[in-house]
Amino acid sequence: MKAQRVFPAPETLLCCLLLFPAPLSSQRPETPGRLTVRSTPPAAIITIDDQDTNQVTPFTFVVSPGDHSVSLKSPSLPDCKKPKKVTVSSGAVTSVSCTAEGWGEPNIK
Amino acid sequence: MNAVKRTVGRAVIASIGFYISLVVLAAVVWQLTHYINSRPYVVIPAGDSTALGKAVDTYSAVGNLLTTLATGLLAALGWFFTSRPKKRYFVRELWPAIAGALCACLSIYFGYISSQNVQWAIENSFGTLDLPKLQLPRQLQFFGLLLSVFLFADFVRRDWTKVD
Repeated sequence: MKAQRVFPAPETLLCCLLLFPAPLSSQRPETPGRLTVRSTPPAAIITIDDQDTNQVTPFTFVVSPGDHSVSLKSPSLPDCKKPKKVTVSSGAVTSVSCTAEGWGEPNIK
Repeated sequence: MNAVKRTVGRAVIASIGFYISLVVLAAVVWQLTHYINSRPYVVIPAGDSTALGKAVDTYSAVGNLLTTLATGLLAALGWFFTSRPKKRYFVRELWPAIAGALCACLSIYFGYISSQNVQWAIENSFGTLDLPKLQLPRQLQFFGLLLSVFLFADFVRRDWTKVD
């Protein structure tokens, strides 16, 4: 008859492998970024990722890191209706502004 | 001798199958967690902290309740098996109990992910809890518990109506 092992090593190792990744940072969402949208003149309605935010310029949002498309609705800013692709980094503040001439380059802090 | 060998071989296969299914389950759960945590979002920063504080309190209270119920269900399952003279069960009789215990464990896991994500949202000054990242784990926690209750009840019903 086979003697029972005192320390079940493979099973313990497997349990550690399965359970330890849970508290790791990969299980936690990434730190968000901030996206500031400005316009001249102000008070344009902000749309991000094709969704109305019900906010007007200037405003700062908390957003997921990655690419977002920003557009503005204002009769005095027809060129700002065209979506502007903005890349937001984790933990960084990205500013983007629009004038009558169109979108400027994003500014990352 | 052959019968003994066959029994030992079957036990080894069952053991390997158990560990392989554990690894597969862990991989699926990690992928699901990754999917939940990588959902894009746009939120306004926290403004009215009183309303948000109350929402967080309610969220935590429900989360605690669901975790307690899932733990209680696991305890009830354990008690069901240990409090009576040992019986032999076939796999077809045991599967609701196994699936129920698994759902209760998944409910507890998603409760942990849910509370972790709420903590993360508070730390990052989120003005709302109405985000897929926060709501999906919570729904999985609730429906996992609900399913485990149904499965446990089904197992108990089968056991009580079993003819020996």
